[in-house]
Amino acid sequence: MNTEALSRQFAAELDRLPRSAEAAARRAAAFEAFSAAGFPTRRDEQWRYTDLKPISTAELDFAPPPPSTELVSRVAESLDQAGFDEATSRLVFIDGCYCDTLSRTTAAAGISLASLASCSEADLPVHAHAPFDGHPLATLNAAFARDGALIAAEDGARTTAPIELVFVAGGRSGLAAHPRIVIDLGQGAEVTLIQHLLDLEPGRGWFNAVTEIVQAPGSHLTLYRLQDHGTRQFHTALMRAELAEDAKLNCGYFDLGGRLVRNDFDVRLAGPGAEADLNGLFLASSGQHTDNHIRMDHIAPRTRSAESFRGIIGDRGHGVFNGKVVVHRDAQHIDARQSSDNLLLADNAEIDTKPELEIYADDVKCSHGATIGELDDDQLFYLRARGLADEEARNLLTFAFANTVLERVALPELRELVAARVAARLPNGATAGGTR
Amino acid sequence: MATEQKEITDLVKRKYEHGFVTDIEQEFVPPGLDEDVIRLISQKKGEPEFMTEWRLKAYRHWLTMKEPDWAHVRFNPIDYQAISYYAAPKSQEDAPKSLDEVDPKLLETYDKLGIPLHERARLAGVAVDAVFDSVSVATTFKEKLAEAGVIFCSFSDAVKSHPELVRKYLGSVVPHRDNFYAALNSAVFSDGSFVYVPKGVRCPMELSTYFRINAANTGQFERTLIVADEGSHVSYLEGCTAPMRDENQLHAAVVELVALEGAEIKYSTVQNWYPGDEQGVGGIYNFVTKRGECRGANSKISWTQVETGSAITWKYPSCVLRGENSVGEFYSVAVANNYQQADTGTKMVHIGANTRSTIISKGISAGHGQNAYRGLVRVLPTARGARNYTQCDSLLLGDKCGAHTFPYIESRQRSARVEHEATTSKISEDQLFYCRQRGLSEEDAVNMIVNGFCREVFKELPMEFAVEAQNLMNVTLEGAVG
Repeated sequence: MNTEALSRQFAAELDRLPRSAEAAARRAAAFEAFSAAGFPTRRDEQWRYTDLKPISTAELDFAPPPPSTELVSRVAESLDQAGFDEATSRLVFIDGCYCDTLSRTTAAAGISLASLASCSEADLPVHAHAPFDGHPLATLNAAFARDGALIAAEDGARTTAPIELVFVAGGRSGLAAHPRIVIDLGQGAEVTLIQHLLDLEPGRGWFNAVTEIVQAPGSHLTLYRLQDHGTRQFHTALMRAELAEDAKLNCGYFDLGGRLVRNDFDVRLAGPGAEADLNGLFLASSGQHTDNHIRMDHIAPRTRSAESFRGIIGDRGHGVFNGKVVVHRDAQHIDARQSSDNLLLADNAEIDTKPELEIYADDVKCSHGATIGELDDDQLFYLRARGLADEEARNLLTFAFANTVLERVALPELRELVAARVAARLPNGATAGGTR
Repeated sequence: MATEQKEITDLVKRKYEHGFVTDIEQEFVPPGLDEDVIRLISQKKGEPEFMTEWRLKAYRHWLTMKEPDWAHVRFNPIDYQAISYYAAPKSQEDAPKSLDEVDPKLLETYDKLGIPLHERARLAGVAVDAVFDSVSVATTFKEKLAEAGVIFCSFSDAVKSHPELVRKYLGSVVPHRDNFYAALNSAVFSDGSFVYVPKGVRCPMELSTYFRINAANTGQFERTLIVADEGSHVSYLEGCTAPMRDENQLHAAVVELVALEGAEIKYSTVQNWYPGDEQGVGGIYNFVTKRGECRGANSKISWTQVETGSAITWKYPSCVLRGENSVGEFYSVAVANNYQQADTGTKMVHIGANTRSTIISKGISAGHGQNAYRGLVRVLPTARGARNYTQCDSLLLGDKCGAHTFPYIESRQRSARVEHEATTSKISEDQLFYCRQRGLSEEDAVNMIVNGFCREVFKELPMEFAVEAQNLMNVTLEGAVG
């Protein structure tokens, strides 16, 4: 997609959206900032291992038309079949467009759930307009975002059951969606949120999301994301979180699908005692490319962070991990851990991992570890000796490798769902011994 | 706390022991760089045509390059036209035949540094090719080496006496277009050491070069080439000190190692260039390209470095593991104190099957020092069964310094196993308390802990260097308790 085509689309989109002059100016500024630099290339250190050409050269429609009633009913059917419970508080989006009929916005006391487009601008938290320096794709999202989800929790509010955000790609190819998710937690609020990303039918499109999280002191957010796209979708996402004193963030990201996947995490531990745990698991095979990019800023003293990402890379798969922990000056008593473990299952699989530390304070305990290897011969032998077929043994060990991350999912139902999806995607998934 | 403060103050005020300037008349090429200067350097050194051409090719390529800006260091731009690219001691015209003929002032310089050339060389059984600024002035133990067939001479001599070897191997590991500083070095390199160990020869002694930067305004551009032929073995020692001076001086060296089948090269460095004063004024810019290639099967290259000096260090001794079963090692201790900045590490490129590499890096930061480990482990699809183990640890002494780790790990071979571990911490109160409780002074306790922290690297050094390194560490970090 050349800049000209993109500009035309932007101009059309700007006219279409009924927003204030300020909002229009913000979008224009964002678009200008993006066009000035264009799509990042591999010359850019942050994009060293990920080539965006498949996206930047694709012809994409940045203003997806709303889904037809027929498509909506097909999505409804497929969600029912997949076991989604209509009674849960959920927002459903089809190709980035909010679908009122499939959503249920009533939630626990003190928690509001709404589509962003339905909110009056005055109701939006200030940070919903923050610029995205250093994240070109998020800047593009800022220019084109037309809808998304707002989850706000008042002081002390708690979710009784997880809130679900469901993003469905409707199978219409060539669409680009730029959803925005805004999460705002008041003091001591506790929220659990699950994001589902799935394809109704295999199609090729681009999903470019931004999630913004602001946590007041003592709040606790648990955020899971199951990215279960088909293997042709492009998926890029920025998750940015700012944590005040004693706030806790717990994330589990599971990337199973997607042709080209890039997740950026930008977490700022801004208040003393803040804690963040990021866990991730990705599968990449059959030409899939998955990149997890993390920046963890320890700004305040006594903050703790842990990142643990595991990759299973199969035939022609390419995995990338870049974790950066920055401990700012005078941020003392820091505990930061990082690990990137990767399993290579095929000869043409590739993994590039870069766990970085940048430390400007002295009273810190920081560590990182990275491992790359194939399945252990001794373990395979052990299982074979006990009568398992080679394939079975391999799948069992592969699943066990993934299970380390799955075990950290606190919700049993979700854990089972993810486990089943992982098992189904393993090379000989259907016969995997590990689906429980 | 009060004693800590005092110790820190003492540390900050510690003067650079090797800071003095020897007043010897020097022959200069006026500052500036163009093709004429390069022709002049080449001519002054009496080089054959191919060398002049090679230099010019490098220079022309250098003109198209930009200074790298990815390293975690900050410094004022260097004016390459303000540097004089050639300086030779005046006495070079009638080159000394033996130590007796060497300018006594020069020998005095070595004495002040605590390395009485002849004495030390004989006592330690070390042949020293001492490089004083740009031209080698004394070389010892040549006969003994010649007996074994080992060629150990200055680069200039090698160009004249063994042009075929130089031509074959020069730039074969670090090509002239490799990077900005390597290209500059290729164009203007003044002198350095050349080593060739013939087939099956175990070099009878440790080879050693002491480097000195002396003349003001003179960048020193060393070029070292070591070739270990099939089944040979050589251990090479490099040590550096530099006099005190307020201007920043550029040092852009290139070291190339070639290990053929079954050969082993061990390269050890103690680098103690002038680091600048406590305000961060002055000090050497040490931008070095060091790379070894394990060209033959079962060959081995091992780098060991102790980096305590220089205002800025930019250095990545690397191994290209091409031969099957070849082995690369990198052991490093890097210290950044006051306003020193170090960006150092290694690259291990696994090409051959069953190649193995080990990286042990220990970084120590104190004062306002910034210390970064930057490493690359790359496993290519051909490197079946490759193995890498990396450990990089950082120790922080003080709350104004920084310790950074930037490892790049790339694997495209499933049977390869790569492990990387890194930790960053300060000296724990518990450790200190334990030592103090057993009657050690705070300073001794810190020394002991720091030496323990560096032990894995120090034990890789040749014996005489290990002692020196340990003392250097104690002096460098006197009382630096966080």
